[in-house]
Amino acid sequence: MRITKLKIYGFGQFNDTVLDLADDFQVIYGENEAGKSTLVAFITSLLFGFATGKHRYEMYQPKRGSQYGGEVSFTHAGTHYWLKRVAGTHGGEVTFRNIDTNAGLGKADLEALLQPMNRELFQQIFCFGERQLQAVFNLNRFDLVQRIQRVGAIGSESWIGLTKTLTSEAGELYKPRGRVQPLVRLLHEYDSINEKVASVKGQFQQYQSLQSEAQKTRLELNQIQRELNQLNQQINQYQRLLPIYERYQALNSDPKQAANEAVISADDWREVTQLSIAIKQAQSELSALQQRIKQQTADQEVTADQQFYRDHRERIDKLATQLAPMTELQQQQTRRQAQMNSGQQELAELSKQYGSSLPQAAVLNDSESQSLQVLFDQQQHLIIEREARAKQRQEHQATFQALTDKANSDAPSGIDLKWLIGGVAVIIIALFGLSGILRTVGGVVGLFVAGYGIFKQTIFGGNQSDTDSQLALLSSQLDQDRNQLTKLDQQLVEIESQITQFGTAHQLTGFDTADWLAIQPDLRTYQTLQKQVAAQQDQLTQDTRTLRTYLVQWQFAGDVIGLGGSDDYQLQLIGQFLSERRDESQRLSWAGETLKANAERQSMLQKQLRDQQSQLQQRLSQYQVATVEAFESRYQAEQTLTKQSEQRNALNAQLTSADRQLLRKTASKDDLVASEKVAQVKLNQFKQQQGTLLEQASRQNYQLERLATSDRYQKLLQQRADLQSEIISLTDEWLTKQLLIKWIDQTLMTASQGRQPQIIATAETFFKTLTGERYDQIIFTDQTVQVERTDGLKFDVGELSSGTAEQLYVALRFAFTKVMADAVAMPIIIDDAFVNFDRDRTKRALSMLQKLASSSQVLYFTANRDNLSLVASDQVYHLEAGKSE
Amino acid sequence: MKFIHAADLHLDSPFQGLQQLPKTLWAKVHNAPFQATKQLVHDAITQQVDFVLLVGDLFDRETQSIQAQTFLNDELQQLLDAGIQVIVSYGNHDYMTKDQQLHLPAGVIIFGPEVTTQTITTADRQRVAISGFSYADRWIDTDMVPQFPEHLDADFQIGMLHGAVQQTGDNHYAPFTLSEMAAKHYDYWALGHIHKPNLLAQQPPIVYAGTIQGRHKNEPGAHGYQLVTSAEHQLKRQFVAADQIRWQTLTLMVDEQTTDTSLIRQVQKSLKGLHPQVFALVELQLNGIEKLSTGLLTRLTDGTWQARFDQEQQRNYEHTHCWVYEVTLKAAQAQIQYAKLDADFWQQAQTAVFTQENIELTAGKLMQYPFLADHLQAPKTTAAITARAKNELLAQSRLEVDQDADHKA
Repeated sequence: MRITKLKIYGFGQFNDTVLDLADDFQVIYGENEAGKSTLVAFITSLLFGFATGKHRYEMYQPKRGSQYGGEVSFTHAGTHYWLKRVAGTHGGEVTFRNIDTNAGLGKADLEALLQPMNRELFQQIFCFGERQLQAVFNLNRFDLVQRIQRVGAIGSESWIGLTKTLTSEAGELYKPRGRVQPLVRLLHEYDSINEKVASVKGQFQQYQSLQSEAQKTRLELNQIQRELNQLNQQINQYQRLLPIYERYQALNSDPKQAANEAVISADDWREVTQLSIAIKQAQSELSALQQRIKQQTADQEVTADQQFYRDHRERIDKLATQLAPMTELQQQQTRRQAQMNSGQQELAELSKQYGSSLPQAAVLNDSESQSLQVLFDQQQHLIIEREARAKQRQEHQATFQALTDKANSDAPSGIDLKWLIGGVAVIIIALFGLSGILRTVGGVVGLFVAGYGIFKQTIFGGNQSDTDSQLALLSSQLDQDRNQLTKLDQQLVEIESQITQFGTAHQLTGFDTADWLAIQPDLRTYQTLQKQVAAQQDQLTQDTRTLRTYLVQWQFAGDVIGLGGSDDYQLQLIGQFLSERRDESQRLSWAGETLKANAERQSMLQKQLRDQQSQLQQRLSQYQVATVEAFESRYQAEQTLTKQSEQRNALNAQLTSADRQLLRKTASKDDLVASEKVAQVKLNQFKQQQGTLLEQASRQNYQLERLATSDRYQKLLQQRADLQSEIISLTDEWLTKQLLIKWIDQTLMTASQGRQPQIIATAETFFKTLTGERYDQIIFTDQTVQVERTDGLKFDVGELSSGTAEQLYVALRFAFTKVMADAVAMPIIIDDAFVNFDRDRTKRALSMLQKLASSSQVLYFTANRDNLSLVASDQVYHLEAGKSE
Repeated sequence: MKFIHAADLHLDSPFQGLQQLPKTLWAKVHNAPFQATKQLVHDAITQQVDFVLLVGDLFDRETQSIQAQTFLNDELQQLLDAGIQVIVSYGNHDYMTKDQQLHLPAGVIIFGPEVTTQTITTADRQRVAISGFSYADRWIDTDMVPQFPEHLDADFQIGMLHGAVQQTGDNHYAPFTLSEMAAKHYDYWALGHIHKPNLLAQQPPIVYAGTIQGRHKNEPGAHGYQLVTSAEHQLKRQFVAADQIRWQTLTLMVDEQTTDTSLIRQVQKSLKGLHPQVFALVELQLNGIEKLSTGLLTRLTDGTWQARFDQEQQRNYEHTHCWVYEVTLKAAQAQIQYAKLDADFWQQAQTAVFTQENIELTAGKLMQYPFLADHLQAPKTTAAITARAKNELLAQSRLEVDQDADHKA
């Protein structure tokens, strides 16, 4: 590719700028800040797209707001193209055209044309800045050799830089002889944990042997336990048998029951015992009964009175039925006598109160009383009216007198005493009760009051003619009063005569007139009482007769009962006699019954006794004994034997056959005691042994437990495994870096070696040019690079002066670019790469570039005016500072 | 008739590939094999199985711990107390020598080094003949199957074998072939040794019970035991999970939009979506990392992002039931920033540099550590380091470009 024309719309400081470029070697001169780097960026941007926002400073947005982008015209493989790129997505909007055919092409065609080139690659291979070469020139000899050896790979400078970074990073992880790197530290840790694991692992052996020992101890313990159990059993037997030894021997030597005699059964024994007791009881009851019968027979005698009663029973019983009514009658008579007495007494009292006229006085009935009352009322009324008239007349008389007196005096005194006395009183009070001004005022007031009293009549005055007419009226009234009084007195006399007439008619004259009505109740009582007393008197007489008749009928028993005295007393005696008879009859009847019952009981008991005695006899004879006592003693003897036999059986039941065997075998109790002692001694020995073993077992178990509960070993194993993981991961990381370094290096070497023949061929011509024909050959070996001087002497790169070594690198580097450009033809852009070269060298470098330009376009940007004299002036384009601004 | 077939308890073997777990999680992980075993015992008792077969590698002789042994003894005693027979054959990790025997509870049936047969009568009055053997050494190079008896006069015949299928080359673990096993006409072959549960043949079942608890990322998925029940005259097997921790991989795609925070959110969301039944130890695999921003890519390669994410998951893991223990970046697919012109040279150099020999050589002194040597010699490691190197190259080269650009500006 050769670029012929650049047209900048707007890019960085450039606006609407057009540059025509030589298609082989073009020097572009501009002072600093003239825009050399901007132009380089413009070319790469046009070809490979604008930088994205990520690399903002590489975008070179136009400063003045012109359209971003521009055009580039170039030839490629003999064809002319025109490329326009303005702002747009994905690196800008591309317009691409084949000028020769005037065919419109697209972005893809541009990319296909540039293949396999891309921005990075282009920059790495075809762009040289001051920085890239300068870095090389500052390297030490060793690194420079490395660079030279690896110059044949694309981007080898930056790759080598990367290996340096990686080396230092790897060194931070691990160094075989390091001390502080993490991997080294982890490995130390691993070693120490491994030691721990080994030491703890030994515990397992210990645990196993302990387990075996513990097992052995357990077996021994079991054995001892068995022995102990056996001994304990033995001792137990001895101890159990010792207390019963003597009893056992005794019981087993006791006599046995006589076999031929019938044994008294418990039932029979109970029957005999009960029978003998029953017989005894029956006998004692019989004798008591006989005693009682004898007594009761004696008690059967009858009294003389009772005999008399029996003789006259019918007659007495008949009379007895009437005794109750008679007694009732007698009591009634007594009450009646008392009532009569009180009536008579009341009559006597009334007679005494009212005197002798009482029996004659008549009792008034209701109408009579009423008439009498009317008379009394009329009389009373008249008396009151007369008194009132008399009083009225006196008053009239007094008034008349007063009026007469008044008329006679004619000038009446007229002094009103009330007011006069009041006024004097006020003055006195004022004089003595008050003082000062009050005294004066009081005195004046008193004088006025008194004055008023004196002159009142004078003030109001009187009338003489009024008095005269009043006197006349009063005089006629007085006459009228006198007539009336006379009339009333006549009426009173008339009434009094009527009352007297009434008293005579009813025999009341013996009494005061005023009492006539009052005595009426007593008069009525008196007459009633008189009638009652008479009736009672008659009844009493009749009853006394009846009673006497009844008592006479009892006279036949008079002596027996002892009758005499009042009727009342006689009745009492008769009652007592009859009551005694009833009691005695009852008593005799009861005694008869008891005697009969006792006689029956006696005969029954006698029969029962006979039965029991025969029964007893039968039982006794069954066992051939004569008496109950003999029977009893035989029974007791038999019982003792039975009990012994039972005890023997019980004892034998308690004992095992082994026990019995031992008891039979043992001659004496002492032998048994001795055997027990021997067993006891043995037991103690075993126990001691057991104690020792138990202690041993617990010790072993404790140790086992302690070992078993510690999970330290397992934890250590897991920790170790974790540590291994950590180490492995760190090792991998370290190895990755190490191998990556090797990989990069190997790639660079391989690439360099692969391109060696072409690079060396080109580099030799360049090197020759650069060194002024002093060296003409470059030889690559596996280890190093050599150069051969024209005189045939060979030098290792290390032996070269640094200047020469640098020239060698530059030759190789440009040779590489040329080789690459042969494959992918692109312009070579040099941005003041030789700024540090002296004039001589720069000249030679430029002549090298001229050579290079024969195969590729070379664009050489420089700020060094001196360089301009080294090239033809038509090869120079001046960037004007003013133009760019 | 019902029984449980389990193997490879490896009670005392530690978990591999974990680092810097939170304390409680560490304890949970550490306890997982014990809990899994407890689960098995509990299930056996509740299921009222007749017997339990343990086909080798209950322990590792190399790391045998007292705690593990007492623990197992207690658990086995529980089985015996419940009337469940326990039949054990030892494997290559817990092989028994005459001088060093394990103290298992009395009543546990243990096979000797020769193939013998034990006959058990089950609760439903069926007679089960069980044949097996124990390792007396670390290796058994010979095929043991010919020593197993023909089908005996029993209702069921079971073979217990701890070993691996015969392969070309060295065979150290009682090598066998499926055809010779099938020829014995057994009703069930209970296998141990391989940690992944695996059914080698359907009828009769030839089954690896697998380990009861996966212990590293190469033992992913559910682990447990086989519960076998008789139906008519056939045995039906059923895998029952008993593991307390499960290893798994979570693969996520990242792109240009992914940021540190969005990635954390994305991972957390995906973890929440996992809803693991059993606590999951997750390896996070990121694809498409070449699209990531340089900064994030760098933080992923140098572990800064992981450190930040760890803080997040410290807070959440008890809730999500997951823990991301490792983040791996799928090797960059797209161009690394080297020129296509040089692509061949890069490829050539990669092949030359990333070899196992070169790794060993570079590791140098580190190879003294057996575990590191094992790790570094594994082909997987070479691949992993290659992938990592590519990623790092991507990150570093892009960083370089960015710095360059910034510098120029």
